[in-house]
Amino acid sequence: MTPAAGLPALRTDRPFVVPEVDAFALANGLQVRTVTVPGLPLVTLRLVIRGGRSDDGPMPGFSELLADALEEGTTTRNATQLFDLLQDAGGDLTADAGTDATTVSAHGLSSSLPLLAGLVADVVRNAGFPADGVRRVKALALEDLETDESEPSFLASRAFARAVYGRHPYATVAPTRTTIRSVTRERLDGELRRRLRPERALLVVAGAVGPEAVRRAVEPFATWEGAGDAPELPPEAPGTERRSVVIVDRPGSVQATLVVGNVGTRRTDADAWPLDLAVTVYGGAFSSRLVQNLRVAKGYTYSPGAASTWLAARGVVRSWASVRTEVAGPALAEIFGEMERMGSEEVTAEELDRARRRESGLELLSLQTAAGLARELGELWLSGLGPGRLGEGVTAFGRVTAPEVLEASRRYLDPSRTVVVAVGDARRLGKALSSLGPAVRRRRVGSTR
Amino acid sequence: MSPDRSSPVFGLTVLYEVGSREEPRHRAGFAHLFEHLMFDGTPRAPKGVFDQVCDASGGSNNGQTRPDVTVYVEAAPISALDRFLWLEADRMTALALDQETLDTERDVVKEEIRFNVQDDPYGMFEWQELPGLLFRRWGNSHDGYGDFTDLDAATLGDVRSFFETFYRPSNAVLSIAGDVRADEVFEKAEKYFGAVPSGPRPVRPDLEEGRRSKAVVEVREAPLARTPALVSGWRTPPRGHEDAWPLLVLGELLHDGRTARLYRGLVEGRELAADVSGGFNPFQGGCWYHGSTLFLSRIAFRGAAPYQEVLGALDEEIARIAREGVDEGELGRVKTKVAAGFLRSLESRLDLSTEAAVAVAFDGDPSSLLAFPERVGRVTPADLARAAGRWLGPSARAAIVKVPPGKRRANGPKGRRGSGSGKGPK
Repeated sequence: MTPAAGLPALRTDRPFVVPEVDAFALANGLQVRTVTVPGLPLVTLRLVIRGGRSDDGPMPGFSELLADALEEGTTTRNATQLFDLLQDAGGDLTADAGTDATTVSAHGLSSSLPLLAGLVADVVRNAGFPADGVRRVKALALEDLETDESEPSFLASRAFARAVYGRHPYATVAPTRTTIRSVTRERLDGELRRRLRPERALLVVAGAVGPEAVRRAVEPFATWEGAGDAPELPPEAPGTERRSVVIVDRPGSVQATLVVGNVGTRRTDADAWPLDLAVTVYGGAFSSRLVQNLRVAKGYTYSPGAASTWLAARGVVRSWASVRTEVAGPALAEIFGEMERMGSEEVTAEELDRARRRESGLELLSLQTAAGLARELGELWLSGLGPGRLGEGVTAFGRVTAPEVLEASRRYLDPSRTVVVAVGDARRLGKALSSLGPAVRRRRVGSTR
Repeated sequence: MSPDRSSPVFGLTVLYEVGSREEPRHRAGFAHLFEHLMFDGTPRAPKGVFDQVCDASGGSNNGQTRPDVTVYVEAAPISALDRFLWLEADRMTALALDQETLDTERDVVKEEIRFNVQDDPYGMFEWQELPGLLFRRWGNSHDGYGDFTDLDAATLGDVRSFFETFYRPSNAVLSIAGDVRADEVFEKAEKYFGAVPSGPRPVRPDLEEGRRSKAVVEVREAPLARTPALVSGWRTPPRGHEDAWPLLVLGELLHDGRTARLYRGLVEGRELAADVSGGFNPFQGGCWYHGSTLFLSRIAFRGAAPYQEVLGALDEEIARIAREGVDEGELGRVKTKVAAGFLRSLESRLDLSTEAAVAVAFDGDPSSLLAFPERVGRVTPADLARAAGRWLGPSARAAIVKVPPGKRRANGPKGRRGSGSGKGPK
């Protein structure tokens, strides 16, 4: 490290005391975890149901519409009654579809635990899909898509997912217009029963509540059941074996939005933790090589970075930067150069130590709140790991070695096997990226169905 | 200082009582540029050290420039507390700046503006454009991100003088929450910050502006947008005025979540809007403000709706509150949610340290923070009716409508000025 005379040394770390988790299952298969967080009189409930975009198959993005429609009320309470009750409990309820899971979350004052649990159960068991609600969900989804398509970051994510995942269900990031128009009350109801079922679900309750109170409060979930055949999990995503370039035309764009990457790992893969550290050294932290290069040394961009995600059928490793169009070429050359360097020599001992401490410190910080604990318990379960692994990130990074980081870099940060997406004004961008060769496809904004 | 031994981490905030409202004229955006420069090295810790040390300590950091304050925040495992105190005291003592660093950071700030503003379909118009239309005094009306001419004009001399005027201990608050004892922290604060040279406390300029007497509505083309949006803003009374807390509650009642009056009235109900957001003091939040601030509603409206109808519907929702008040049941629920939301905002050590620093900056007392739910609790239906009628009327507004190319005809000519309620041009 650059010396700083007088900087105090790190003191001894104090151990992270893993909170006790009460785990049990209902007869219908629903897994329940309680973690008591004393202090503020608040509680968070997180119902994680396996299957999100991964279930969408021929209806790309349908899971998102299903989640939106869950917020339109139940057969026993319309949306107005539902949200008035939540407000009175000092909280809220949201349903979200992700890649591997659909999540219904509620939070509020801990004194309202029974009410909150009852409302979450009501939503997944008795979603009403009223005609006006469904109509509005569809209309707003079309408006949202229109708005999203004006955002360079959305266009880049959409093109990147398509290019990396190809025909895999992970290839969509938002509902298509065809999917939105095809939504009916009957389809929502059928998919609800088929997808949202107790044996595919975990309920985490975190906050100023004890296990006994939770065991009583989850009683409304006891009669929850699915119907029909549950969707199958998607196959492993292969990723790309060559370099391809996609230019998305956004006429008038001031910047070029660049995304570069390929598929990554599952959480349980042997190279998952080494890859995480490789990405941290490469571009995941402010002191990383990519940020120091593109932002601090060159001033090309405000927003460079890199990250890896863990998904059941393999996540992604991505680098990104939004730069003024005339430096798009040089910026990409630097990105490739830094990827190349990661795969050609071991990271230094100082870099490895810094990355380990950073990742384990951020893990510790993320577990200081009830919401953070609930999120991690959900992630563990989705990866097939038990609550005993809670907090593993605080120590796991310390065991990763420099050769493992090198190996992971060679595999996942290879500039010759990567997708390059550039969103911007295509005429100016084409010139700026001409050095990448002719393998360029141009797509105009809004060309998708 | 707020001890909490439940997790071996801490959150730390250093707040300087200067924001974009006080930056020098012809230097729009300077307070924010300066915030970036605070990360660019000191005589003892050269450029790069701050972020390396932060990462190597398992921490995270950020800086935020707001209209009235600039805050620097760090969260990390408790083992790193001393070094973060050292780093903050070090950059409060002196910066090591050269022309090259200033030039590079200026480029980064310009990229930030291109990224967040120029390439954004709406150009962040509620932040970037509304104040210019709503206010008259330069401190309130200028763009705090700055224009490129003013940024280009910034010199090392400006940096030195801003630092010497505003970045003094007399103008700063240090706040820590986490796994540490109070006496320990006060000792450490003395050890690291005690010798930092101080100076006179800068005098805060008077930025009061009364309620607008004339409405103004401008339609502006948004070349990169595909759907229309509008923002309506109103000036609000000074801190401590009897209508300030009612306006804060009104902001939640009108905008927060699925129970919001504007959600139910405009997204459901009339089906004119796709999304509504806004509230009281939106650029800083809650009680973070000196003097007076603003109230705004931002509405992403459905493509087919004429903007006049959207503004008319907004006015009707507000007028209904001014006329009829709000029933106790609904107000009670809003207060419960605001109070619970306040508790949630204290959950992470970092947020708690920031809120406590803010309470010191604006109320001179960290425990004023704890009075928040009680202050909200005192608001009555009559208060809401009075505040809505006095401050949020159509004749006191400034509004901007952003229209995508090709959709202008249905919504009237570009640059048209008129009152929001269709009472004819001004």
